[in-house]
Amino acid sequence: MFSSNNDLINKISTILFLLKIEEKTVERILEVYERRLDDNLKKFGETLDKEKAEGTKFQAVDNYKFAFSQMFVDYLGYRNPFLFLPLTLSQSRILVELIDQYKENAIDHIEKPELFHVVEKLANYKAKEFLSKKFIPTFQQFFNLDAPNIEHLSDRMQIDNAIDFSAWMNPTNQVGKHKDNVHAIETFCEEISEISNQCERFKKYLASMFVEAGDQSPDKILAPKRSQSKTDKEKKEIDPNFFLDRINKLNMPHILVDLLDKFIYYQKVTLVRSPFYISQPLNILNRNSRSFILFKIRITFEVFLL
Amino acid sequence: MEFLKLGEEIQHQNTLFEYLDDMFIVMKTAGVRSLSTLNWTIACAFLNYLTNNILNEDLYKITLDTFNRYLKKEFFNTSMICFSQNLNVYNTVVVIIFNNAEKVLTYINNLREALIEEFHQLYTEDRETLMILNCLEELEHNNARKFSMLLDEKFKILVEFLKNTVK
Repeated sequence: MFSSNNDLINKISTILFLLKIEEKTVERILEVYERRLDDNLKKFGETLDKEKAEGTKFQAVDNYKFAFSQMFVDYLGYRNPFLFLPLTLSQSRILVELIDQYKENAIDHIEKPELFHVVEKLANYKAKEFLSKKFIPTFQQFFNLDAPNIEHLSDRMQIDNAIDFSAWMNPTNQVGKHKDNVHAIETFCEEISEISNQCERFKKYLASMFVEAGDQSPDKILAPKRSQSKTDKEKKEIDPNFFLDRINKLNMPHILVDLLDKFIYYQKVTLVRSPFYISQPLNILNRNSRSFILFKIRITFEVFLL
Repeated sequence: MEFLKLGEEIQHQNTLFEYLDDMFIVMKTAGVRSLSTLNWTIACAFLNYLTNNILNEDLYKITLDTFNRYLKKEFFNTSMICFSQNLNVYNTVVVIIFNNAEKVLTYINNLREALIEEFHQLYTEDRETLMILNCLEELEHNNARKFSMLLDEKFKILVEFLKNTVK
């Protein structure tokens, strides 16, 4: 969307003008923000190199709690050659904390809390810059090739082979004998649900980001006539609806569709037979039910006759 | 019809008290999980499966079969209402199956409310997600009426049978 950093600064400056914030202040924030970001990413990259050399393994499951942050970290990873590899949970946390820290530093630096939102927008604009150039065109590849969570689950789709369904479904088998199978399927469904949750949240985040950017676009507010003079291709590039359509029309990665299909199947299985839940509280006899009262009256009547 | 097999097992193992709670707990867990996917297609597909297959067919058949098994005219005679231990057990079983049928109505309503609460926490209402709300409304509407009619019908039969116990 933005051809260079100058374009980015110009657009941000226009927004700040509308917000009645001095332009020089913003340039200083942007400068500090980018310099610190680069420095810290470099340090982070060196740490990653060290951990890679030590053979630290990637833990897929724990990373599920980082919905957008994880994606943002991955995005940053693309820009830094040191980060072109999966991140561990601790590495992700460090990087997410660093990103938050930049915003706080910027606020301290200029002592204007209102600019927190502006700095946040800067991060979003930078993400958008990347998205327009690289992320959206390679969305499916991103999931299929570089999302370890999906790959991890893909391997576990072979869970069919690990469970003896015929034995499990046999009602003559003892309750509790197949508890491990129930745990495995419950975990599997939980993970698929979480993966789907993250993908949907991220897509919604992208959509909202473009809508927000479209609402505040300086081109849209200040220079409609200039936009009209652009070529059709250029007009398409600055139209947020174009990106929204692209996001909405993206087919879900094939592997995720398979997982969701399995999710439905396995959830049905847990509904059919789930000895894991047998230890739940018992259904207490309702002494106010009609049948109970009827029997009570009938028996009382009998006693009275006797 | 796998639930029918489970129903047979329940009767043989004297777990009449337990199966209803177990089924609804599993249904709630799975329903919440399907909502958590944030994928309205998946959520609607699964909620419709709960409504049409599990509740409307399987649980209904279990309930109906249980009534047919235990609510028989030959069991109701003048010696039924007495202080004999065996007959008291039978009386209790009849009360339990009626009690369970009544509880189904309450549980369906509770299930719907729990899933709606989860829905409001996870989704913002728009055209697509309103379809999930419709599925949740159908979950109660389609099944509560059916179970209620079954209960009324069997209750009338019970009243008729009890008349046979009058000496």
